[in-house]
Amino acid sequence: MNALILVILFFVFLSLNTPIAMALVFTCLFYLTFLSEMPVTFLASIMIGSLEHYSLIAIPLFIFAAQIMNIAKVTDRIFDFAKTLVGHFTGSLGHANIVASIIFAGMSGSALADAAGLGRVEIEAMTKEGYDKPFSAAVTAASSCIGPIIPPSIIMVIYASIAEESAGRVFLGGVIPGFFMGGAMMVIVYFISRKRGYKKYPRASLAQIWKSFRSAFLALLTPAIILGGIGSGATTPTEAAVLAVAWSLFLGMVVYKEVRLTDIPRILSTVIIYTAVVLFIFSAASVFTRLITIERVPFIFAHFLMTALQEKWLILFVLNIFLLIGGMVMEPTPLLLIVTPVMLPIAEALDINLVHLGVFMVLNLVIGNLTPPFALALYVVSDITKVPFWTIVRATTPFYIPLIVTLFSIVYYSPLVMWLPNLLLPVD
Amino acid sequence: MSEWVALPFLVILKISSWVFYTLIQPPLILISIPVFHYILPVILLAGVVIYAVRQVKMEGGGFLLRNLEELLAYPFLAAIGYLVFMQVYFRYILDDPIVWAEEITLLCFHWSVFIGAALGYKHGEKLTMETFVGELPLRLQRKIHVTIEILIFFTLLLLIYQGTLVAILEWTYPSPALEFPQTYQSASFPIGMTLMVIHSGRQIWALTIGKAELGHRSSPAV
Repeated sequence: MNALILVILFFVFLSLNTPIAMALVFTCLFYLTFLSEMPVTFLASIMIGSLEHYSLIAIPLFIFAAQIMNIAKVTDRIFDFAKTLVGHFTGSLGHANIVASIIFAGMSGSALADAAGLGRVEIEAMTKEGYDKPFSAAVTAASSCIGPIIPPSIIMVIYASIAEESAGRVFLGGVIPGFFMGGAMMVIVYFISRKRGYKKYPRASLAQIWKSFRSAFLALLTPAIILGGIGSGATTPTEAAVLAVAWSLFLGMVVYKEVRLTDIPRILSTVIIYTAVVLFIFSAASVFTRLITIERVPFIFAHFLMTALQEKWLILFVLNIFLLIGGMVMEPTPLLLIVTPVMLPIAEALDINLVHLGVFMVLNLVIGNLTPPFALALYVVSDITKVPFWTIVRATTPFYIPLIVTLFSIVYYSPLVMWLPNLLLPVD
Repeated sequence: MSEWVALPFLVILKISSWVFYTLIQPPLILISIPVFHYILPVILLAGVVIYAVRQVKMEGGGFLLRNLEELLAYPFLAAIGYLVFMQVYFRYILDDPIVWAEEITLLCFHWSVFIGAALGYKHGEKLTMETFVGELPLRLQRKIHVTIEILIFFTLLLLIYQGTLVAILEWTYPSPALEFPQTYQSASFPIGMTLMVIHSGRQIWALTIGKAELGHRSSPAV
């Protein structure tokens, strides 16, 4: 009963346009004052204590690295490199867009950094070549979803710290699904482009590929540092993040000379605001989830699902639909924070590995980020292209097919996720 | 068979590690400790001071007050990056891990998050959802907005009170390595909330007495 009040109150506050962190705090305060006899300092002490995870420090560092990479204009180099690689397919720039997103996903941890930084370059190039704007916006938005799946990924760091799973393993779990998504999207781009008769470039010669590779080489080292560091087990994600920051600072300030000292305050301010908004919600949500756990909601929910549905595949299906709908109306990060504690006992009962759970949950929420009414990625590209929001939604529709296909294949065929982490970072 | 393939790589590895440990590492150890402990921090701090002084010259003394959160939060964020880098460097290159760095990093992390939350509040990055409220008539929207803002104001006051209690309680808990009181870390919460409450108060002022526009922006989140 108390639990129900807790959840309903939270949604009432949310619907009144309360900032999410504050809606969580209000709800918890209401519970603590009227429904329980816990000491008053409970709220503050948990909010402070929740940040006591060393792995969370990776978040500001990854945002920092991605910001510097965006300002250092490595996006142009990466896009050119992608163009020489896949330019000879029908609908060449569409494919280049996706490949560039895959590469950039290896240095940035969020879909939005991808859509806002790289997306601008991609959309400009595609419009110049005569692709229609809604299509290029849709490809950009859809391919930006790869960002949080391929490591590094901010939302996965948060997941790992809630689920107490190794962040490195969750990161590696996202690698194959990320490439899978990219491949599936390229198939769709191919069919759409063939129907609309988009032109293609002649196949780039080896010399051209070598030239664009050399120009992008130093930038390509960033994902190599991050993936190599985490995959070989030599560094933790936090350490890989700091190496990426150091490398991108060196690249931006010394090699490409695009980042100036006077840019630094602006970058710092973006990083701090972004980090603090996410982590303030994190600390408020950790109080909320603690209360929900005290009220035994996760166990009741898990028990209900197990007895009502019984079949593993059916439960997984229902959970995914539930998450997809949740993702449509809510931001990924707050939703993840609230849903994960509920999911953990279910995963335990169904014998689902926490890495597997994390990857498909994140993919679910990222797809939600692309679906109206609450589609931040689409708002961003609509902002860049000045195309009306609903036109972009219509153009994005075909891209739900590869995303949903990827989602259900990784949900029902776990080796796609588990193979790489088990190979590189096995648990004894 | 496979040993023969691996042999040249092993030889190269052996040689390079010998070169590293006898020729490169000793001088690095000599230089690194003074550089990382004394010289670089001073340069970084000097950078912040120079930045502040330059801005004050350009915009007058009000700059310090207007950008209080920024000036407090930047050094903490920079310190996080610096300390984690230093830790990696000392552990992998010098084989001499720093025990206390993790603690100080977490301390800086707390401060930068809670001050950053106030900073986000100041810039209107509050992360709300798009709901039916946006469709209501403007007068009603304003009323809801002001009510929520007043609720936030009083909740923040309560949080400051609770946070202060926690910070006082933790005075007797020493941290694991350096054994400073945990208050140094938990004090970030009430102080960050204090900075936030100031902005909340200003927002209420602007919405009721002043003539501010409704400015609920969603922030770029993950």
